[in-house]
Amino acid sequence: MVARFLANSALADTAAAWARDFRLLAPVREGQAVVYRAWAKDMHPFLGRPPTCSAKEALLPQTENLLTYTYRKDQADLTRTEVFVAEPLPPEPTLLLGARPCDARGRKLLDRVFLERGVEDPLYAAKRRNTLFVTGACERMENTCFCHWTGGGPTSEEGSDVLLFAVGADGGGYVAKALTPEGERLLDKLPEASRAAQEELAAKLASPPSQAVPGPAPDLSAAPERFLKLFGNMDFWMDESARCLSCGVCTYLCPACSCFNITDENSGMKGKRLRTWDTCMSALYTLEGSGHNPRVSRAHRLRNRVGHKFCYHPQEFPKDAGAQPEFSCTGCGRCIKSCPVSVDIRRVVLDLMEKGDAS
Amino acid sequence: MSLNPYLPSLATIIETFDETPDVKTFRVVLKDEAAMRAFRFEPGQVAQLSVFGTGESTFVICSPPTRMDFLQFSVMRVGELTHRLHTLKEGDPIGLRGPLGNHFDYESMKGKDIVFIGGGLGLAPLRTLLLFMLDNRADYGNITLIYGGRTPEHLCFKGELAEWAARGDMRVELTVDNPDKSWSHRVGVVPAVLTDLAVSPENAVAVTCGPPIMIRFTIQALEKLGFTDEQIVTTLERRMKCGVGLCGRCNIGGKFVCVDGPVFTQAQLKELPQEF
Amino acid sequence: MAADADDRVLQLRAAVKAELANVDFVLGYAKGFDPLHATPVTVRTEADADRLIFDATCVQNLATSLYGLNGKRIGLVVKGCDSRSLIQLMQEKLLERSQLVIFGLPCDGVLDLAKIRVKADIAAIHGAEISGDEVRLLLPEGTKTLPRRDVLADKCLRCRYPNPLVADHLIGQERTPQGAEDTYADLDGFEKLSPQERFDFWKRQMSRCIRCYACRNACPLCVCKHVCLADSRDPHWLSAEATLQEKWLFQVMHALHLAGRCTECGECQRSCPMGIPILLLKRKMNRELKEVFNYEAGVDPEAVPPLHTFLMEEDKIKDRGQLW
Repeated sequence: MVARFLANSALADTAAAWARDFRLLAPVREGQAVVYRAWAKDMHPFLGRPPTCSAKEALLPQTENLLTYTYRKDQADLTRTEVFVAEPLPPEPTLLLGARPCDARGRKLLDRVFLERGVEDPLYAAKRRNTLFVTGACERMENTCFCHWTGGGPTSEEGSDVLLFAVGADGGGYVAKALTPEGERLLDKLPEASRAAQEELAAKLASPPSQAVPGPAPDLSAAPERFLKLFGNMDFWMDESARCLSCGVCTYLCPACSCFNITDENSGMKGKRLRTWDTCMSALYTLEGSGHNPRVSRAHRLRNRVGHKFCYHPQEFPKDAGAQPEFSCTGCGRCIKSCPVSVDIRRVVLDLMEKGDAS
Repeated sequence: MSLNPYLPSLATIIETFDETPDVKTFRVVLKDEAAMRAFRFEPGQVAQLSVFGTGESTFVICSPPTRMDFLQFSVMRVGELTHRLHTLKEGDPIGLRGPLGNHFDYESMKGKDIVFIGGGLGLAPLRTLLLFMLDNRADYGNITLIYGGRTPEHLCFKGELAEWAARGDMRVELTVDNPDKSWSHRVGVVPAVLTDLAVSPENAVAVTCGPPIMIRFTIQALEKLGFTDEQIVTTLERRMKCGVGLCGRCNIGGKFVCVDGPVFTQAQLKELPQEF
Repeated sequence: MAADADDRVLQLRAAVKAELANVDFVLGYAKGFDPLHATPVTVRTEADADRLIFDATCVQNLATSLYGLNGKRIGLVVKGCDSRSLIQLMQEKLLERSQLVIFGLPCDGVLDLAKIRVKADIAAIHGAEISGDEVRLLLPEGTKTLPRRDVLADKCLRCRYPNPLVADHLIGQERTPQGAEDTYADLDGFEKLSPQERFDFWKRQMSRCIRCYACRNACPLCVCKHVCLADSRDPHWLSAEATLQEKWLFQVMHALHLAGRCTECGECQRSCPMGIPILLLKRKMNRELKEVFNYEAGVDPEAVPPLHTFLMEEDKIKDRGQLW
């Protein structure tokens, strides 16, 4: 596939053209946050920083209807009611512009849950078939990035339809690389990338990032076993979780977290059944009707979150012997960056690697 | 039947009656008669009952697949959904998603002596397997039911308890913690009765369900009597939402109680992270 | 300020070590994942105590971690603003003074990372030097120096209580307050907007909310935690739907429940991952409380918050006589 060029000056018009065929979600700056908004005229997509939220909202919105229902009284016998239930409408084709490779990799992890675990989730599947990712490759890594710990990287192609590489050539813009046939169709109106642009890109990719910020990735292949060794050590988990506020920042911003709640909202004789994001970090998450709570403390809940990402998921989806385990984490670092008390999941994992060592 | 796992089938309550002050039994049939005739499930499987506007909860189908005039659910009133469910009456519509989860491995129990040990509403999942076995009586050895509750009032399926005791082909031992004047059976907690009876683990399987503390002491008692981990079967409860392994909530380690359970052997439970 | 910076950390560590035998543990600050982030830490041993720091990165209000620790004796490191939370909790009998060993650190203000991010890209910062007048940021592209006053949190610029109002160990010299009186200039500025403009502002801001409840959980006075009305199904105040309506209703509920209790530690706003200026709502409530009841939360341990009691005759509330 031929490399194309998307000039900075052409970004808004190109996005507008895409918005004619797709529901386009693009990142914009709002205060100190970068959030996805549905395309509107005069919108200025901002690709200069990773968005504050992950891109999962395109595939798994924070709220969606699972069904709607209506009760009707039997006019012949008013003590009897009937209920009518309707499924939601299919989604419209969507283009998500401006995610990062860590977000695009996240959708592979969501696929594991919603498409590959057993039962297929039809709402997710419909959106998945209908959503394209035009992703911005990263030019550098931040203090909170650790994508290379989990099998990713700043220019990882996994999960994207198009990858955009920033270059200064030709007035500044992006060398756009299509990774799928749908991606190629998206780019077919753009000019080919010039030799200068391609050479600039090749030089950038050949040299390492400008600063060795995160350092080399540790060997985490033993993480699942070490985690299980420390499972019963509540002192360890209490110390790691002592600062945690039990809010939902880490889970809601995470590209790989997908747990949800199902609740009914009634309005007179009709209503809807909602699916909404939920967080395993909340004390309510596993609270049973009897009052018993298997995860009554933050220590239990942090243990489950870290365990799910670095032990249960790799065990459920094992790789071949010798290959790096598949963690339910893309190393995007949002949980670290946005955690109000700076819980650092890298620290927790390194601690459990050290303390869970057999010797 | 839609491929949408979240979409309940519509069903109607055809009968409802009280078992105890806080447990009610519901008998339901699917609205679509053909679907009802085609409904298949195995003993131990559960269903999500919907009251549209309130929510859904998981209940074991406590009637056996050998008796398909209706699907029976026995519900304790503890939370939002069960309170609402208890206000429903015959003729009211509900939703049903199922069957969900795994089931009792009755094939491997054939030819063995079966010891059912239940407490309170824990008799519900045992009932489906018990009736299934009684309907296939020749396939199984001696059947014993040890069942107890806090008081005689708190015992479920009271009428049936008497019927089962009157049958010649199974043994019923009842007990309560606090008897009333008319109580003529044993007094004491279920694990203590189990120990007194000294049931033999020889070619036997123990199936137990009840309040968590009862299960814990029952399993201890079974181990003392010589039952191995493979010979002890129980069902787990967890807060559930989707019931199909997607919402992530009911996991214990890498297993989901709604898909890999709710039936587990003690051997399987020991392999899981101990998070109960 | 800077003169006693390093001394104070050593004094703090020594004071904590001396009290370790008297408490179940001490909550303090340690270095976080990069030079501009600190993180709360539990100290149980002398080795733990040697990790303690205290500087302008120590933004968290550790009083919020006291929730659920009844029956334990805890040591706590507090700044001036944090101590007001402790006093408010004591006023409401949610905290026993005897449960705490308080290490009070007179404070020169904490950094507001949002303000720094407007002026410099700190995502890959590798060093920071904070002195009395300046903040030097060591960035990949070179060093950037910013005037300290430009990057301190707004609450610090108007702070009248830099010295903890309650402490067992006061570590370091007392500081003079940065601000004389709170004029609520930020509210005045905002209230110059028309009601429609204000509504549009909040619609836009709240649309970013992801209902993570970081604001609620970071608040030391929000002691309901997970039995909060926001999560309740019975009574059913809020749906789980991520609509403007639900998000806005929660913030209004939260501000109202904090009226007369909020000490403006600002943790709610700082914790918001989406940068929503929710402190403004609480400041509005507090200005009303000041005007009507002449009351300021978390200052006097003997005071009763005005909304926890009532007077037959209120000075500033016109009763309009009897109306039949």
